[in-house]
Amino acid sequence: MTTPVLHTQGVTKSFGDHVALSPLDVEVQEGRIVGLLGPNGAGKTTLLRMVTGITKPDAGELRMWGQPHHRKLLSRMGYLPEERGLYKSMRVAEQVLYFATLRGMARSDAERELKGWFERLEVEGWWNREVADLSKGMAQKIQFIATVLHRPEMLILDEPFSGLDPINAALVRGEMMRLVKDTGTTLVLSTHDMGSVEALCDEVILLHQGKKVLAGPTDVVREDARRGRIRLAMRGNLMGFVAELGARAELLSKSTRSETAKASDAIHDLDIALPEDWPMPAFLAWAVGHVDVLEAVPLKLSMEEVFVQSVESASS
Amino acid sequence: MNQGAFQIWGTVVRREYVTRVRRRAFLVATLLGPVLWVGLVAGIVVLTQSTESPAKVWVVDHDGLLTVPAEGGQFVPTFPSCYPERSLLEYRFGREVKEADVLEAEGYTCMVELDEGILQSKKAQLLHLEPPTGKTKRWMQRDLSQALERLKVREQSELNYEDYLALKTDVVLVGIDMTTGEHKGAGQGGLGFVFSIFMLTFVLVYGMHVMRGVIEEKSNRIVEVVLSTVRPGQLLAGKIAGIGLVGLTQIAAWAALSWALMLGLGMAIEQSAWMESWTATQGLTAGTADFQTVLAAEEDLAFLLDINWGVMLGCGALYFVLGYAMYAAFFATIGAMVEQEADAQYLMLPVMMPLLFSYVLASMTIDAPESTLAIVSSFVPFSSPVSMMVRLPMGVPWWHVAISMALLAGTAALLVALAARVYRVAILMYGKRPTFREIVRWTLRPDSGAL
Repeated sequence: MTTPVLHTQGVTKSFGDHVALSPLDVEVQEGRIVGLLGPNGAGKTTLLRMVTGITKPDAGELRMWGQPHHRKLLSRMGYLPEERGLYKSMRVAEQVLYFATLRGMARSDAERELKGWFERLEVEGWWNREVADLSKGMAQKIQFIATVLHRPEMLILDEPFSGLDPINAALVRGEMMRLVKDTGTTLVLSTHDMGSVEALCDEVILLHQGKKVLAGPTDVVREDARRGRIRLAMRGNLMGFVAELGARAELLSKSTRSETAKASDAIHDLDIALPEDWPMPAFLAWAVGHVDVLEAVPLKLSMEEVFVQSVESASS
Repeated sequence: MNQGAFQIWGTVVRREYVTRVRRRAFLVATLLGPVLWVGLVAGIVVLTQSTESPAKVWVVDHDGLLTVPAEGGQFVPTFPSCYPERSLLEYRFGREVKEADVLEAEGYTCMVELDEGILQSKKAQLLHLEPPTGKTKRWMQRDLSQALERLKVREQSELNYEDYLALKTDVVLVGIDMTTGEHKGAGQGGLGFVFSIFMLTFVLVYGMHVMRGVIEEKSNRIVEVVLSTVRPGQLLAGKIAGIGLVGLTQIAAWAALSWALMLGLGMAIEQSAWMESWTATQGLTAGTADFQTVLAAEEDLAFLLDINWGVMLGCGALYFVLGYAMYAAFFATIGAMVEQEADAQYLMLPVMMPLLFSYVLASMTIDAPESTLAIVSSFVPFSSPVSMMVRLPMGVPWWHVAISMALLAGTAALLVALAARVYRVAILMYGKRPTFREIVRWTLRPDSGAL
């Protein structure tokens, strides 16, 4: 196991009487794309502000690249906050270069790098334009460039796709993937867009009311949360099968693939939630005795379902 | 890729400075400011002169004190030399009061009535259709006083008037500072007041620039990105320094341009026909007088040559830097507390009060630059940048300036440090305005709150 890029141990933060983070342990490994999830007020922004040096933990330890967190490490990160803006009185390139030089990049180096980014994100003609002339989507792309220009080893992106149309969102998503693949950049993605999480994230960390309620590889999390769900493709007496199944398990949905001349030839897809005391092999043994089982696959939950289920369960 | 705190601060200062000085509004104000000032003053002078309509006065000398009968039932002044010929003032004398409509029909603008009582009361009645300007009224008073004086000398003494004038003594007190040897007069006070108005304006304008800059960063939500690299204190200090440099640039540009304009004006005057006639009227050899000679000969302007402009501008710039830094700390705190400029309006009032108060004090101390009030207010840091400007042209002991600046510098440093403590927390607060208790609590906590 390599040294994690980010490691917190017992980190807490309060604002007056409000506890924003209870003792929190999280870990992010190098080169991974990690989704930081949670409902509003879960403590995501508080955690990100600590990582980006804007605030300090009240207690606990925050280590970056194996070292206690320090200001000198901040230039190794790129942070795109959810609420973000640009200086209206500056020109586009000048503004991005300002942020890059603040992060310690030589101006000539930054200019060279910026030209490449302008080409990749298709904003070549905007170098000397006023920020006030930018559309929201265009401003988002410029903000993304300002976040990555100084070649950070870790990117922290809070809702990076908000305000982008599908084409530009795909463009930015492609660049994010390229950074991770080509340069080994670690990416922490805070978002409510569960589609992006499913598509991009290797791992997720779910916070709720300042506590970690779920963490792990995305596939494992979705698998673990399925709780005996199965998708069954079958042919045979649907009514009789459903009637008998209903006494022991929960039928989540059913559909028929196509109309056939004989009703008994039709293929039906059933989503079923099995109780804990009825494991999948036992259920399949029972099912083949009743109908013609064509296919049976464990049913993964969507990240949205995992999110809702985890938050509801943590709340209760 | 790591860089020092000073380099980061320098980058912030540079951004604050460059983005402001290249704005068209700044360039226009800087280049046109002195031109507008000079133009405004010249305009006022021209306008005042062109709007001055001539006065024609009917003097009713009931008891024949100042007039004697002439041919055709007319009356002429006993002492004609007391009424010099002027384009803007003309006298006619008589013994009868004229009705308003008659005066108007005959082109008179006013009527002065006097009788023997004036010898005791020294008062005469001025009835006007059009009120005379202050200058015309002063001329009339001087002319009549001189005529009555001549009458009294003739009637009540054995002197002739020329001997009387030789004996007559009007004392003028010329103030000279015993330590510095400098002359002090009303001109210096007026100049100091002008400087104090500039100081007040610059401190307010650039202090508000700081406030607007902070509000922009907060409301545009740029501040979170910036704070992920820059400490709040660094950002605030960079902003105050950068905007202060913009102010200094404007001061330097105005000083240089004004100097150039004055030189240009001087050269234009030296080469004009007016200069030749002036030289002749002064009894000087042609070509020996220059612009400075003209200034030195003008009673109201001669003091300009005695002013130590280097000290004035140097001290002015230093007082601006320190006074601006102190008030910028307040303005930055207000900016960090609000999310839009409209919310800042009522919070600004208490900050502006000491500045406005010092302006009132300055106007009160023009005539009494050595009064206790003037001296005290030039030491109190909240008023010293404005108040000291009034005193400086009169000559101030160097240790007064040193103490005043030291107090101001200390207060400014303290307030900027305290403002940074409030700023670092308030700048990230949205949807809630901090309470007074919270602000006090933050100022007492030395930890920066940031990494």
